[in-house]
Amino acid sequence: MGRKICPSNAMFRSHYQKNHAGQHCSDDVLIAHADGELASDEESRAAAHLKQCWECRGRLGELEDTAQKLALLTAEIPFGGADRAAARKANFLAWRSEFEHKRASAFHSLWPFPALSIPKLAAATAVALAVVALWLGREPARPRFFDTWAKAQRYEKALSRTDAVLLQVADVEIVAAERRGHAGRLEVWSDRRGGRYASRWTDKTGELRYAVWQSSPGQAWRYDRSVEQRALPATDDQSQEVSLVEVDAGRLAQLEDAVLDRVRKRAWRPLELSEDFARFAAMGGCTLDVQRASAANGKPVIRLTARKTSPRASVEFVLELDPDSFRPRLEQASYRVGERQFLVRLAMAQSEQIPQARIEPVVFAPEPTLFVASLTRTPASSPLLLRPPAPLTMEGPHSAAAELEGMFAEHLSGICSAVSAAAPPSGGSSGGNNVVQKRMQQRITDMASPRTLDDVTQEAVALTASGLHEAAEIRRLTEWATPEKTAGLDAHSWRLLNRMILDHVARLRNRLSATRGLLEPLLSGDGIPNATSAPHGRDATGEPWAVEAAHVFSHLERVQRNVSGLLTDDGRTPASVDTAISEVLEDLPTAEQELGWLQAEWGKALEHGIQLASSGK
Amino acid sequence: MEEAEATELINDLYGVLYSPLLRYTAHMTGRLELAEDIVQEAFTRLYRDLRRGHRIDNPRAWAFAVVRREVGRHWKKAEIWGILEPLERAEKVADGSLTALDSLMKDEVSILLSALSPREAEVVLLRLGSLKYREIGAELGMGVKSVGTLLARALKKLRRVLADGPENLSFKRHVQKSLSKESRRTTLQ
Repeated sequence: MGRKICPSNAMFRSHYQKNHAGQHCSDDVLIAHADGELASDEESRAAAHLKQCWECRGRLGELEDTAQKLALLTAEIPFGGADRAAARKANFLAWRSEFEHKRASAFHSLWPFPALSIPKLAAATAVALAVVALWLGREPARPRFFDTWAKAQRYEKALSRTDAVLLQVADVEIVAAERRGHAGRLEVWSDRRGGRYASRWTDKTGELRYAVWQSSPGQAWRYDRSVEQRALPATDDQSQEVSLVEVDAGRLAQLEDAVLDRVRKRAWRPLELSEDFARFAAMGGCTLDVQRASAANGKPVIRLTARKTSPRASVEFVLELDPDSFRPRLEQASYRVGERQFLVRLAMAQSEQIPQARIEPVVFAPEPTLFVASLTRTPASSPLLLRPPAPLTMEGPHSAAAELEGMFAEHLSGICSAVSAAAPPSGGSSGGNNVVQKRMQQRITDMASPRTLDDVTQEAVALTASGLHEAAEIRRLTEWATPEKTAGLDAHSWRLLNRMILDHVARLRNRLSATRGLLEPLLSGDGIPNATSAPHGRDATGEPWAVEAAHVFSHLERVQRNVSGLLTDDGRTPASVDTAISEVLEDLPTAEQELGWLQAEWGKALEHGIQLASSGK
Repeated sequence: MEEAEATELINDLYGVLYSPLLRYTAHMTGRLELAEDIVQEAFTRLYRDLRRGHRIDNPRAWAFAVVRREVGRHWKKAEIWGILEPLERAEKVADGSLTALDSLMKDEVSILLSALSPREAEVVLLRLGSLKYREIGAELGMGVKSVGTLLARALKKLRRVLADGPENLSFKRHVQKSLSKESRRTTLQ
């Protein structure tokens, strides 16, 4: 839109230019001014100009006039005719009525609060429900381990601190991988005030397996029947504390005995699961954990877990508590040794304080039928024994065999770890010996120039240290295998023992020959002692193999000391080195010879033991 | 919004907006009946939205936007399906056989508007619907200054036509002009 310049009236132009920089308002500014659509600064400028400019006022008037005429024309009658407009409005009103009718006819008519719109109310309800659901479904705060355990302990202490008689009933389940599972029920009556106590363990058939009665302090009876239906030795009254939680690999086979022992150890005290857990958790190296979980029956519980793991075995002790009262409901100990698994579960079925008046005195006295049974059976063959209470011993042939199994498992794991650590090839086979010998020989051949005395000595120190370890293992085995221990071993146990001994002997022989092969090239041929001569003037004495093992160990100790001295002696001279190496090379054949005697003696012992075991069967 | 409140508001708006909306829609579509349908649809939609609680700050601008969108749809449909109704209508109007359009075409304002360019006419019609420059600009996709310019130019043209007398802008000439427009459109298609 172009701007209109003033007419060529000199006087007017002069007057206008003085005030308005020589320009009129354009048409669009004028119409915008008329419509009130100008911005404030433009509006004020236009208004000021219009006050003084008759021409712009005239043009504004023309535009306004035109607009007014147009508006009048459109306002006179409705477009399209009044009749059509009326008909259309009638149509619209009919539609509106129908719309309102439909809206009111549905569930909307039932709504009693017209002021509240249903969609809004539904949205608000949904939000409220969501909030409530979130609140109800929120995860409770994670319990803290020691707080939880302390609350459980407080609960049990408070339960037992009563003048009434405390009756506890627990379901016991023992599951072992290679043996059938056993289930039973343990009932414990504790009368703290009267010093009375009774405990009964029945198996799932209802047969009594173990019981103790203390009708008053100092007067007690015990009913015992071993798991394998055998009588306890009458003379065996040695006490040995064997806690369930301390069962090791050697005693896993006697897990049921261990459980029995645990019950016995608990004599005159009520069951306290939190104490058991604490005893286990106090062992070093345990990983402790607490979490909320669901029990086997789906009920929520708090689960305390203590776990101890080693390369050979792992033990997990679990205590489940009621989440509200912190009442211990279940304790479970799981053992895993190699491929074997064991499980002992004790679930509290009942825990009740019973007034003294309701307790029959016979609860704390042996049942007469049991006495009758004892009289009608011969003591030698009967599993029934009635005598003053005494803890079950774990000594005897059965436990020695089990202990041996544990030692063997440990032995195997030691071999496995030695192989995996790429240590010098370990035991048991002559193939391993050859490999070591060849390798060491190769090294000695190569040592002409690049290897120093320190290199060779360091290797010799490592070899002798390893050999000393093997000698120590042999000595440990010989010390363990006393005639008392091995008296009742079966053939299988003898073979286990034999395998362990031979493994260690073979590995020791490896170390000895490798050490000798390493050190011999350092001396001239004349200086090498004669390996076939009897060491230190001693002949084969036919001493027990345990004594021979001690000799081997002491020789190995000296060898190791001498070799280490080579490494640590800063002021050594060629002569002192030769002397030390000569001593070592003298000791090595001695040790080898004694190892041979030991092996011979052990062979005799093995043969004798297996014969005994066979004849015993 | 409650029924009574919505009814009162829609009655007010109907009284004020019906005629400008219909004129605008008829001018844009060239068909009175179609324009009436579109305008009625706009009012029903406005009422429905009000009753459902939708917030409509400027019902006037909202209504013009609705009808303009509907007109756009109409033309789009016509293009897609090759509907040549405008040409047929124009021919019928030319030989005087289409009475339904008489009232539309004999309307003085419509004849006046035929002197304007389509854009100018649209701006004038929207301004007659009491839309502000800003709203017109938003609707047509142009700036406020452009709206003012178009409006001023249209008013100047209208003033000349009014000065000459609307009768000089003969109906026949208008129809011929329309026919030539439609012919061009058809040729392009």
